[in-house]
Amino acid sequence: MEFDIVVENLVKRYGPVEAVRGISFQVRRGEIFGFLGPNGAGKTTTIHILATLLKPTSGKALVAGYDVVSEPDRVRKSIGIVFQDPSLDDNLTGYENLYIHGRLYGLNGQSLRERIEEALKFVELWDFRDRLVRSYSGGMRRRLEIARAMLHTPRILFLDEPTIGLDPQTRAHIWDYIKRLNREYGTTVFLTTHYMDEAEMLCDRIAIIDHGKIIAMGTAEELKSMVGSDVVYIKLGKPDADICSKLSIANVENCKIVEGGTVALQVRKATEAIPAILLHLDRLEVKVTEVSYRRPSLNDVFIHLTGREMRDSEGSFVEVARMMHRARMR
Amino acid sequence: MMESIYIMVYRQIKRFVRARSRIAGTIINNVLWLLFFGLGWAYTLRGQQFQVLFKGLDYLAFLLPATFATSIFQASFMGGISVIWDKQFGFLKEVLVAPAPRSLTILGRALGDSVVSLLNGLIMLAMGFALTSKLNPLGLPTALAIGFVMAVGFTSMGIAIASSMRSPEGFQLIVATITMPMTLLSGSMFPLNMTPQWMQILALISPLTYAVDLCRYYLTGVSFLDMVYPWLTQEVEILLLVTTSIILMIIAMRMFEKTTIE
Ligand SMILES: Nc1ncnc2c1ncn2[C@@H]1O[C@H](COP(=O)(O)OP(=O)(O)OP(=O)(O)O)[C@@H](O)[C@H]1O
Ligand SMILES: [Mg+2]
Repeated sequence: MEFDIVVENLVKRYGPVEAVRGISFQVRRGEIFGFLGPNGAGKTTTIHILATLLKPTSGKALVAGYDVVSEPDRVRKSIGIVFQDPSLDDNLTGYENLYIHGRLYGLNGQSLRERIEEALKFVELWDFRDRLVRSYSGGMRRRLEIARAMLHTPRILFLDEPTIGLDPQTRAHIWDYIKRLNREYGTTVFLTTHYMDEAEMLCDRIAIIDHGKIIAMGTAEELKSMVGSDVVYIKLGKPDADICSKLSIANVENCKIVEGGTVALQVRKATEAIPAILLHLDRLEVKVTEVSYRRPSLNDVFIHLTGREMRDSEGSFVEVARMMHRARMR
Repeated sequence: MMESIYIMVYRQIKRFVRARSRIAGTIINNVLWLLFFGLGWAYTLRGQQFQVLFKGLDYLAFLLPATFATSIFQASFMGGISVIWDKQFGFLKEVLVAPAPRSLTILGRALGDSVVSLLNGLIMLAMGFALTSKLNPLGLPTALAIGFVMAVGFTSMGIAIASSMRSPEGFQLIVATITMPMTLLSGSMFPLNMTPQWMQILALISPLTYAVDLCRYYLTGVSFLDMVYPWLTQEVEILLLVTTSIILMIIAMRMFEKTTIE
């Protein structure tokens, strides 16, 4: 298996503050990998280290096979990045922003013009290319930053909270761009977020990070199965008071008649249990009209691991303050 | 290699062209300065007895070439503030994360800003040619070259200081405390040969003094330094100015290499 990012025991201290406290993980080639964590977890710090903008206090990080400390130039050539905070030149047009970026990455001439057109069309900003970025909306800026990060067709793309503070429709668009970039160009994506839905929607694998440590890692499915059981709801053709005794099979941990003809079954993994249950009921000639199940959410996982909600009141206050800061920067 | 330099020159000039209010502000500032300060003293020092003081020049001819140099100095030095703006508005991260060598992007930036402040000086000089007939147009190319060399030096000085700073306010404070004494000491507004020796020695430490004297020499044919210090020929002054500019540029490159986003 080929790894695009390998991190071992990474530590970053700012004076007395230990922002990243010894994390290790690997990101496979072509994967979308996400850091999910609350404010101050150390997500941005990690991304800045991987992008060669910060030196780690200790530990090792390889990006595209190159060491971020000893071979920063090679790392820089292999990556594109969208920062959490704005990083566009407001006094230039969208096109000029991309043009400067392209030249800084060694593109020029006709091929640069073609790449700019492709990138701007990809994020649907081609029609706005000659407007000053100052007049762009928040969502347009974000899309322009994505276009800029992909302009030089990097092998690895870093996205630090790509949809923070955006409206649901724009977020959906940006998710779509990220998925298409990953699929059509084979770009490896490392993103951070504190939105559960975003992590779940985009990421092949997720690392949950809190207070500078990775506290869990895996696919969304795997993480959720840490919390325990899924609940399967089965609606029967006709009510059956004895149904639970009939359903005492290995997969079912608990059985309860909810109301009418519906039973709630606690199972370890719904996707595996459902076929077995249906097969069993079919053999008993019990008629089933509807099956559904509820999974624990990533929020349940976070609560399970830390005893806290991911987005507590303090967190959302910080976010509001930060968005106001972003707004002022415009 | 030229690529990274060129593109930053492109950006700095593009930004300058976009900032119309800044251009207007500069021109207005310069006009007011020349009108109220320059003309004011020019009328005051009109009599025959003052001709000796200025070695045959009238006050405007004495002042204008020097103002060309000092206005380039001020614009260049102040230009460093854009590094801090870029830090605050995030564009600096975009430059720092790019594979283009930082020493070259900052060099491009310094050259771009130098062109901009040279334009500033040219506006001043254009008004000078309109106000007095004593300036020698043949000296213009040399004066421009000198202006450019000093612009590169002082832009680098501004960038070097800005690289280690976070807030524009702090930078402005430093600029204000350095700009004023250097401008006054440069001999731009009064002849240095009349001042006490301790003041002359202080003046000789500052490269701006040479730039002022050189611009004045090439535009009017009169130097106020070589009569007091005969070893200070124009060649020596040029050598000193070029050397300081190169040193300042190297310092700026080093400082910028080390700048972080922490
Ligand atoms: N330049 C700095 N100096 C000192 N401490 C810092 C600095 N930058 C970050 N920190 C601290 O390091 C910790 C991690 O910060 P980081 O920005 O990496 O978190 P994050 O996960 O990106 O949070 P957010 O969701 O708010 O963006 C925080 O406690 C923060 O206060
Ligand atoms: Mg962050």
